[in-house]
Amino acid sequence: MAHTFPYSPGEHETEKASNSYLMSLVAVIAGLPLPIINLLATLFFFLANRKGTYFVRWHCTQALLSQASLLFINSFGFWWTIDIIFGDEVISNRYVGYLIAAGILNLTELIATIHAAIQTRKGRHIKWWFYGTLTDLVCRP
Amino acid sequence: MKQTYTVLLQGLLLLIAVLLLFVLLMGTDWAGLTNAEERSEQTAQRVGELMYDFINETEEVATDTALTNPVHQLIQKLCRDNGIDYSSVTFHVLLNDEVNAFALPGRQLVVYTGLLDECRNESELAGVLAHELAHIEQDHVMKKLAKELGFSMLSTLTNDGETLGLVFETLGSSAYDRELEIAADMAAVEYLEVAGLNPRAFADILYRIDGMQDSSPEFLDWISTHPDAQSRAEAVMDAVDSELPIPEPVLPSAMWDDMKAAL
Ligand SMILES: [Zn+2]
Repeated sequence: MAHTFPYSPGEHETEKASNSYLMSLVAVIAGLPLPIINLLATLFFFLANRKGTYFVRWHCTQALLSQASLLFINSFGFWWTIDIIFGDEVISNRYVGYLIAAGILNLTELIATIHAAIQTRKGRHIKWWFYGTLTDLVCRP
Repeated sequence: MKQTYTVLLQGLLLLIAVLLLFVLLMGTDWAGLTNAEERSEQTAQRVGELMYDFINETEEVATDTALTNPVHQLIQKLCRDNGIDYSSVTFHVLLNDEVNAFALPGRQLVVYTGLLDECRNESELAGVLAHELAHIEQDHVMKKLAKELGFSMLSTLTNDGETLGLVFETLGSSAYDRELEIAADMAAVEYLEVAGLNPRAFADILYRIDGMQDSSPEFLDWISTHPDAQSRAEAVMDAVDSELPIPEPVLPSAMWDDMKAAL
C-alpha cells in the first residue's frame, strides 16, 4: 500500500531507503545457511543510517523489523535441519510442513521486499501491514 | 494510544495467521511420510519378535520366579504409576554374570542376573529399569539401531542367527548418544519419584559402577554402554528434589531376600 509520508523525500533519500530493502534481500539470500547473518546485515545497515533523514530511517526500521521476525522462524528451521543431519531427528511430516510454511513466509517477504525497494526508489511510501504501523510507533521524525 | 492499540491488534492477527499456516502445513501428510513412520513401527515390532525368539533360543533365560518376581513387580509399578502401557512391555531375566540391562525393539527389556546381584536395594534396580524403560518410551532403541546398522538392513531382517546376534550385540554393548542418555536419566528420576521409589539410589549405583570400572572387567558392560557414570550420577542428584523423603520399600522384603538367595 502506498501511503502519504509527512514530506516528499529527495532523490538521495529514496535511493538509501530503497537500498535498505535491497540490503535485507541480499541478507536473506546470504543468510539462508545461517539465519543470524540476515539480522546482522540489516542491523548493520540500520545503524549506519541511524543519523539519516526520517524517510531513510523509517524504511530501514521497517526492513529490520520484518527481518527480525523471519529470523526466529528460519533459525528454528535451521537447527531442526542440523539435528536431522547430525542428530537423532528424522524427517517427519511436521518437519516438511514447517519448511514449506517457512518457505511461503520467506517468499512473501521476498516479494514484498522487492516491491518496497522499487516503490521507495520512486519516492513512494510503502507501509506494510503491522510492520508499518509498528515502525510509525518506534520511528519518530 | 490509538496507534499502540492498532499495532497490537495487527500483530495479533498476523501471529494468528502465521500460526494457522504452520498448524495446517505441519499437520499435512506430505508424500506418504506417515507411511514411512508406520513402516518403521512395523519394523520395530518385527525385529522385536525375532529378537524374542532369538533370546529364548540362544540365551539362558531365568525361569525361577524368585529371580523374575522383583523385576516383574518393579517394572509393573513403574509403568502403572507413570501411565506407561505395561501390557506391551516384555522383559527377560538372563542368567549372566555381567552387570547389564538394556532395551530391545518391540518394547522389550533384558536384565542380567549380574545386575540383580550388584543392586543393594530395590530402588537401585528400579533406577536401572526406569532408565531402560525411558529408552523404550522415548523411542531411542530403533533410532540407535537404525544409526548403527541402517534402517534398510533392519527392514529386511530375517530369522538369521548371525544378524540377530549382531542386533543383540549392538544393543547390549554400544552406547547411546549422550543426550539420549541424559534424557533417559531425567525421565528415570521422574518415574522413580512418581512410583514412590528412591531416585538417590539410582545415583548411588551410577557412582558405584563408575568406581568399579578399573577393577573388575565383568562389570564393563553397563559401563561401556553407559560411560561417564559419575557426571550422570551428579546430574541425577541435581534433579532429585532435596526435600524428597526416603520412601518406604515397594516390594515385600521377603521377595527381595528370596531373589538374593536364588542368585
Ligand atoms: Zn541408557
